Amino acid sequence: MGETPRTSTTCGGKSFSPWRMPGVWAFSRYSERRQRRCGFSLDFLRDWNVEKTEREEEANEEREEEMDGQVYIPEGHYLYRVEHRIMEGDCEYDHGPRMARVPALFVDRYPVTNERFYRFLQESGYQPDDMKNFLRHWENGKYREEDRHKPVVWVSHKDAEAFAGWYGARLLTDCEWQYAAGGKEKYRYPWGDKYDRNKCNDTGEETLTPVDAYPEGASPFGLCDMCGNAHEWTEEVFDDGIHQFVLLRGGASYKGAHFWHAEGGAKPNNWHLKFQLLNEGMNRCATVTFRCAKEAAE
Amino acid sequence: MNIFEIENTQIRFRFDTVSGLCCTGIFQKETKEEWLTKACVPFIFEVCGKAYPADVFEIRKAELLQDEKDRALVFELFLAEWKIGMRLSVSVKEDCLVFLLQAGAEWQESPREVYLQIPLFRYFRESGKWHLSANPRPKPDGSPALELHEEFPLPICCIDPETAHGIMMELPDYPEFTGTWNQNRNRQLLQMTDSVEFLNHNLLLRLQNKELADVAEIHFSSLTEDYKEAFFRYKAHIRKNMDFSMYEKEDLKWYRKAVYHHLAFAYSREIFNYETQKLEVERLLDEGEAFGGYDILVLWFVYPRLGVDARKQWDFCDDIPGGIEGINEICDKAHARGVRVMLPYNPWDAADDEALTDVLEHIAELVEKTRIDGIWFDTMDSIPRGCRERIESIRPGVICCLEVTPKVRGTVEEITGSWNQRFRMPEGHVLRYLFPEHAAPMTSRWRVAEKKDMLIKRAVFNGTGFAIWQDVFGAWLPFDKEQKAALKKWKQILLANFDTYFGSDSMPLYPVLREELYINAFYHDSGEEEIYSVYNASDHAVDGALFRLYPPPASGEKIRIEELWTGESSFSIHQGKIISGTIEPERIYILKMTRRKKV
Repeated sequence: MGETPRTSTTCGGKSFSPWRMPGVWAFSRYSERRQRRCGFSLDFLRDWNVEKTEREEEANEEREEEMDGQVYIPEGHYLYRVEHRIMEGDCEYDHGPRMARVPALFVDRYPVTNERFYRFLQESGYQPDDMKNFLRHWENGKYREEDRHKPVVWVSHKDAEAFAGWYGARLLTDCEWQYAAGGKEKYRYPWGDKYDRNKCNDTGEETLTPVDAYPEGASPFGLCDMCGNAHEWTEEVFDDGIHQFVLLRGGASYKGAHFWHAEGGAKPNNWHLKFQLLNEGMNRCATVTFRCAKEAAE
Repeated sequence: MNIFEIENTQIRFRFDTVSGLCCTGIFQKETKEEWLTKACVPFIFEVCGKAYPADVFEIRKAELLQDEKDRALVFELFLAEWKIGMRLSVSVKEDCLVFLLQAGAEWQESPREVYLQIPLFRYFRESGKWHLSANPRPKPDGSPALELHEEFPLPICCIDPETAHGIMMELPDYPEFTGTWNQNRNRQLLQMTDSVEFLNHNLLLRLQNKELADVAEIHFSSLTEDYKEAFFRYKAHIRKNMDFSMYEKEDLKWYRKAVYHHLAFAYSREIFNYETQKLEVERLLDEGEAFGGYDILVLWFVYPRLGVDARKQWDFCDDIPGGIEGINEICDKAHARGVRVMLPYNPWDAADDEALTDVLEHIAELVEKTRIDGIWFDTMDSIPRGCRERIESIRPGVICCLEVTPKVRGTVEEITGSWNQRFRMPEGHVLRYLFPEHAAPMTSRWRVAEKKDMLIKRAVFNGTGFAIWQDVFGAWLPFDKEQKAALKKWKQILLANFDTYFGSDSMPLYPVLREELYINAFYHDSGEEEIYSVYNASDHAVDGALFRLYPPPASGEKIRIEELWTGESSFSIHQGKIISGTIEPERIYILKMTRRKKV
């Protein structure tokens, strides 16, 4: 497990608490619990076990407060170029080089966790029309505790869009994702140009880790877990008249064993994977998560 | 006695031992033609750069051996300088003479490199044209006009094109053991693609033992009906020791007439409706009518999606639209229209701890849970051992189809179909003609535009079905209207003449009278119908005599010629056996001959 992540978001010496900022979507999870806590009696605090639980919850709250955080990315542009193995079926997309413009954004520091997605369900009452494989790894309508801070998976592109939409946000586009991951420096990996397996989930165990497990792997903008834990949905759904597909970013800890398998593992920032859409049962995967962004008000 | 002869009904070999061993004749009895233009030694050895022709070997024995069944002329020879022992024998078999060279050496310290030449071929009649095993008919660029198969090497023939007489040589070969450890060098002769190389061969032997080992074995027989006779004789030999009972099974016979396959890529509007999130098989089949209708659907939802997460192909069956029940609905809708459904098996998508028994159980479970009609074995030229039996134990009549042409004869016997993913003209694949019962539709895969046209020609030229594949894993490569119409027309012709195209006898590289032409021939088992698909590979029209009929029409027999592909009627028969007409460049004609007794 990694160190406790940074608890503040800075950009140009400015600190942001996005849920308190005008124009940035707000999360309501703390208010209820805090209110409940404020009403607790001293008698309650004498109960050691409860106190312990409370302390743990407090720690979780702090951690989740951090996980709810956004990073400000100023407007920019860069020469976009993506390189990846083209499988049969091609990747019908302009891989550059071309100039890509990125608007000023507030971007989730971390991928959406199971805990955060749970809150979303509580708040929104979201229920997809097609439930096949929806949150397949959850038990009894909730994540397992050990998965609390891991990226939410078994969510389709539509599920991800629903989440983002609920909070007035959207997913990162393919171009934005690359900029957010590589920064103006255009690093090959979020942390720099040289691959370092200690800075991402590349232990060989091929299981998901909490989104804050590798703080050293943060991008120049301070975004975390952008490489090698879970693929991330990007925003665009491409439609060539015959097919619909979405581009995945970042790679995943799972690696299919064979050449014919879709590529997994930690991937560089200038890589994406064509994901051809089918029904929701097929669109939801054990290795695909997402993060949200919102364009900063001018 | 210095002259030794041995013969069967077709050929006589003659040897002289006056001044060492010499072959003085290879006589074709039926035509009364001598094929050896001058006496020559039957072999030459080369050791340490020095040549040792057979006539410098000491003849230790020369005798005709015989028992109640077999007869053999045997020469035993010895080269004292290197202590190399040699036996040359010519044995009489039912329809050939077996020329066998065996050698052994007693080396002082370690073995030397020894090379073998068989100079007989160089002295065959000059009018004879060579048809090599690996290149029975070279194209203008020298490459073979037929796709060959290592397991089934064709004979080597020398044929006089004027008389159609010739000598055929079959060289037994065991390709599983092809490698440096095999002492029999037949394979080297079989692999030669150039006649100059063949005539000047120099075969490196592995003579490490004192005991005699087979180093070359050639079965000589006579030809009077050109390469047609050679191919059919060879085909009969190949098939004699094979088991075709799988092709005779009543519950698998439907597969032979299911000539048009279709690979339905699920992640495509060709079958999937993104709005309703359903696979619309009826719409797909409706659209398939433009091709003449699909007979088999391969429902593909695995690659290139597998690998994004740890789900395996079996999991996908539950996750695709409707899951297993959705697959069954597709099967039911397809069956209602007489169309069968196959699902793929991808051997590369194996779990780390997956054993063969797991694979068999997965496949068996899939067959058990669904109403599919077959398994399409992705990337495979054979199937897991016991798989067919396991499938059959669940539901007889479920077929196995390989993506890749079978590699060994055991697979040809066991698996009744595969896809032919080869993309050239005028080539066809030799297996199409050796085993016409093995269903092997052509497929276009990545080919577009005129390459698709060419593949349609290839199917027409070779008399095969077609695997229509428009969505190659996300790349949409549709056929145009003309191509669809051509395939529709071809399917009608193929099915209308099914018993001729898929009769027992069909052959590639039928002998032609014009070098520009390539012809494949297909014969109805009744002997009353035959089809010649004629292709002009040149850039100019060919006019006049095209090919001979073997056999020519019998007395009182009338031949009717009908052209099925272009509808042209300019073809005629001359001198009772020569077919004439005009063949336009790069075009195919289907000439159907009907033999009728005159009343």
